[in-house]
Amino acid sequence: MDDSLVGDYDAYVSLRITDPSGNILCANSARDNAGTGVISVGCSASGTTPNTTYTATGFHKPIANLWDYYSYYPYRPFYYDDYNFTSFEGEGIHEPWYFDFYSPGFQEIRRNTAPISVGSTYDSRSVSTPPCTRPVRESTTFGGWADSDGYPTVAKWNQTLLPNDKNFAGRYVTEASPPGALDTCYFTGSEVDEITAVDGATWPVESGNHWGPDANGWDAYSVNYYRSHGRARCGVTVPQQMLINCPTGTAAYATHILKLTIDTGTISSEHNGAFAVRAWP
Amino acid sequence: MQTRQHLKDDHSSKSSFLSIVLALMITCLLAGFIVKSQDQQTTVNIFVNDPRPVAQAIRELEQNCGCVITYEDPRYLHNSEIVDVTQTVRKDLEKFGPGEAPRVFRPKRGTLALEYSSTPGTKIPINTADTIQRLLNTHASGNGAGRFRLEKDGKTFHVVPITFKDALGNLTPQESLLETSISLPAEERSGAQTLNAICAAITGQSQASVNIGTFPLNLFLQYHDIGAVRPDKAKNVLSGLLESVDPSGHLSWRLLNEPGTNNYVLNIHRVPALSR
Repeated sequence: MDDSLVGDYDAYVSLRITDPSGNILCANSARDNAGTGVISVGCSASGTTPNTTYTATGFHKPIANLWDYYSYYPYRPFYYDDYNFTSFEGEGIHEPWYFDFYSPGFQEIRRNTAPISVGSTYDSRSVSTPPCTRPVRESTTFGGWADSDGYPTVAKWNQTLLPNDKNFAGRYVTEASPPGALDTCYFTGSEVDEITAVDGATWPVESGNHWGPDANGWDAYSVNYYRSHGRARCGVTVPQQMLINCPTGTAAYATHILKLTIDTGTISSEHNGAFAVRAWP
Repeated sequence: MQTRQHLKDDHSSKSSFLSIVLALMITCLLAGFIVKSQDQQTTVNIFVNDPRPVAQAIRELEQNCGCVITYEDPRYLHNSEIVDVTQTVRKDLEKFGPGEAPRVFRPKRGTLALEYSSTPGTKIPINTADTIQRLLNTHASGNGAGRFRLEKDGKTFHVVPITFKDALGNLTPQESLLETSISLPAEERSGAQTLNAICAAITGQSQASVNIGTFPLNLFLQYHDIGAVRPDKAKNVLSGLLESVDPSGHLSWRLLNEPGTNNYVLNIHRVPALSR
């Protein structure tokens, strides 16, 4: 019987990537339906965490497909003599010309087996995402008032990421707003909108781990507006969370408090503990 | 032959039966979908009690839809639409004699309620333009201050004033300040400087005074351009600047009127992007 069968193998492979807790980040499978026995599969995991080991596990399984006819050109069937349990291929057989089959005679039958799993294997490989080196903190220095930008009531602050022995140049820092902002200058019905958050700006980190300037303050009109409406002394306090970009995602490294104050004759700005005041106008 | 005919009849009746079952299943599926669709619609209520109810409702709607809806105040001139809040706003009353402190006015409070259908699991209106228009209609039918028109420019909606109540109480046509034609010379400017220049240009070309209020300062200081602005509506110039400063298209504005005056303050804010 086996001698009468032809066949090939399909290949089935699957792949999954898991995190250290066993959660599946991605999974995929593929099967070779062409009988070549070769197939590949891949999957891509995103949103991974720096400095974490992820494991890819592959599963492989050949599947035998057997036929009593050629599954490819010229698709010749085997001829079965079910009575004598013999068969031959119906290809150019003329001798012996007197060969005869007894009843029930030969029939042209095509049969194939169900796919047969013939065992499986698996292997796995782990890889660790690179760690995200982040600053431990940053220092802030006053960079002057933004007169040249046309905003004399705005303070500019320059930062240096620490520690100094690590190079953060070429990366980016972004500010975000945790809750907790308070604007005591604003009043219900004010034409100057309430300050409720930082801008959400991004800065490149330059050589020497410097970034900035971070400009904080109201426009001169708003300062005058609040003064003329009898709001001084008043101010705004806004928490500023700093994030640095990593190979995957961002990482928070510091949270500061930004303060702006409008007094009757002065304006002041406080950034990460540094302070600047200006008599204005 | 008869057998075949019998089989054919049998097959035919099976087909009919299957067709009926299939039709019933499709009908059930469709009915289920509609019911489910109706069930999945969420109703969102907005209620505001604010000196600028339309502006406040628009702000809430902006946050709900993650879309940009700009707003411009009508003028507040008539006594019925203004309230004196000197006593509650000023912190320096002790510096003045009784009644001598400069007075502070704000628009009189108004309420506005709106209910709209949102897409499943969100507060995003199924039809944002229709929702805004119904908001404006509700405000008008409630005799709120000013009347507004809704404009749509790409993905951005603009709510602009069309009438205000003058000092005598008559509804008077009002043209949007941002319809003012302005131009800017070619020179290197930061986005913040361009914003200043736009306000100055509107002030120079209109009867009103426009100044800057709050805006994302760092975003505007980081952006630089040297191009000239050819004569165009201030609204288009401002929209172009905002798109340049924040290409994600999430900057919006509120142009607010100081009651009793023709002074306006331009505030720019970032509309939070919705997490999908």
